[in-house]
Amino acid sequence: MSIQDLYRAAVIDHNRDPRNFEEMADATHRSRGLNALCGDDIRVYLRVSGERIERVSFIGQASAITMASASMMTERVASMTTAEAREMHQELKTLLTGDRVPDSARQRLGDLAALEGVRQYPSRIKSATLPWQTLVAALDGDDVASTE
Amino acid sequence: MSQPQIMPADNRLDVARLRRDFPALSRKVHGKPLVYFDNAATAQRPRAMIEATRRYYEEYNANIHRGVHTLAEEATEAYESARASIRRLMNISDPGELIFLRGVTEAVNLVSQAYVRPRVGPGDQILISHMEHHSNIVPWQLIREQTGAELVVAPINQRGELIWEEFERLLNPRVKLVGMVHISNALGTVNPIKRVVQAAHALDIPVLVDGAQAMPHMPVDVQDLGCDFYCVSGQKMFGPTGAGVLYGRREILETMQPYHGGGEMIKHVTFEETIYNDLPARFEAGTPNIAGGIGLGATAEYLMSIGMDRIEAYERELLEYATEAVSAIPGFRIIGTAENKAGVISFTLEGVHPHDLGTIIDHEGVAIRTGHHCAMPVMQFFGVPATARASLAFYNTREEVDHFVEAVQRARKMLL
Repeated sequence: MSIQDLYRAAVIDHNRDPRNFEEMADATHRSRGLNALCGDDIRVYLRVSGERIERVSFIGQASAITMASASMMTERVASMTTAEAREMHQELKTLLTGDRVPDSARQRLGDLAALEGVRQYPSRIKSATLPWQTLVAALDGDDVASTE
Repeated sequence: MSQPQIMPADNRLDVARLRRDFPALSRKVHGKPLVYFDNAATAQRPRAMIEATRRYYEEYNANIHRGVHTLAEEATEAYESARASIRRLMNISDPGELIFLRGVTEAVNLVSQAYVRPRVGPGDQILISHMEHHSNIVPWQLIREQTGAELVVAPINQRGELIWEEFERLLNPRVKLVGMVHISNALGTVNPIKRVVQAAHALDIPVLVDGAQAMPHMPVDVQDLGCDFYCVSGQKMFGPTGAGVLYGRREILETMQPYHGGGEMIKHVTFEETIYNDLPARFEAGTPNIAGGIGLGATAEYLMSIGMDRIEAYERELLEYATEAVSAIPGFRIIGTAENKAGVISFTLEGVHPHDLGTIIDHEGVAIRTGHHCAMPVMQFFGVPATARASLAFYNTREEVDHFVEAVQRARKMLL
């Protein structure tokens, strides 16, 4: 299996040019995601109105897998309900660690399916899921999400 | 014992031949020859060590210091002869001063609990440096919690060196122990241990040295250093995992209470009282890692047959070569540029996270460590969440350095 399968074009693109990579002054929810072992440290901001996520942004220093996952997440989750975002976190986890994902879920994941390459790299799965854990921690009102 | 093949006429290491003593070095990773640059995490093992361990299990497997049967006597003799080998390597004259245990972590915990804890209280201080491994930080934080003693940290400069004047200023009669790493695993800095010991002893302060990274790279003579405790991890010096030693000066060890209670460390036990054993058995409770001790002894013999001074000289040249070679890589920043430095290149690469780099160059067969190297305060000092680290050993070559540099260049092109 080649290294390009992990670092697919979409991953490299999002890492080079992360979307919504900024702090959010009017965030209603925020949390910090730490993966001390890898040196990943990100902050995720959300503006939520009722059940609807209006906007997501993030900042931080992290591996390309984490950066891409976070960047894709900010695009994908905006305008979802919080329940839908939580569901997508589960679908992504299944994609990266579980059995086959149904095609419908894969379609919903869109760009995020490009992270599938980490399946072959157990040590990197946490890198891909960290932004999502952080998003869920923010929704739950937790200050820090840790993969340890 | 299989003898390593060395000693070409010009007294330089015949690295090509030495490499054949290490079976793992000939394997491939992702179809490429392995370039093992993660020696500071754990070193590869020579056949001499592997064989010694195998022989114990296959030929005279028995418990030590107990049975009267042949196997038990052979095992005991092999274990004690391993102790003698390690003593020669470190110049420890008294067999009671070498305690077998699992490694540096256990050694520091033993000293902190059995020596320091009963002797300190509020107002006392433990002095360490900013470049310690977590194994020489956390045990002292436990002591702080248990006794109220203060943990004081001697600062380092931007090159990653101990600031001598600051260290000297922090030495005072309230300091009950100085704990210092000999060579920093995260930076490669070689600390001036002899000078540290002299300065501390002038105030009657004992010194513990974390020698995990020094043992595989340079001659270590504990009597010359003059330190009171010297902690060793076998697996960092080409020996087995879970086998290490603590050197302690007899006059100090004799004043210490046991650390663990159990078999082996006793002379006589009734329910009313126990008479503890003599040194070193007093600190070796329970059946030890017999195979590990024997394997570590074989490793010590192997290293002495090569010569630690020659290893040190070779590695110094290799580090110079590597430091020069990586300067061709754009955005390559070396973390830790001490004047006196061992074969460690800790670095960041602009725009490339260490973890991605580690994963990508693994596909080129190159094994490096990425992360905080169990020295998070060092990372905080240099303002980086993590570094990549190439750590060398005497079996590494200039060709491998070149291969590493090419692999890093390719990773840059891929991600940037």
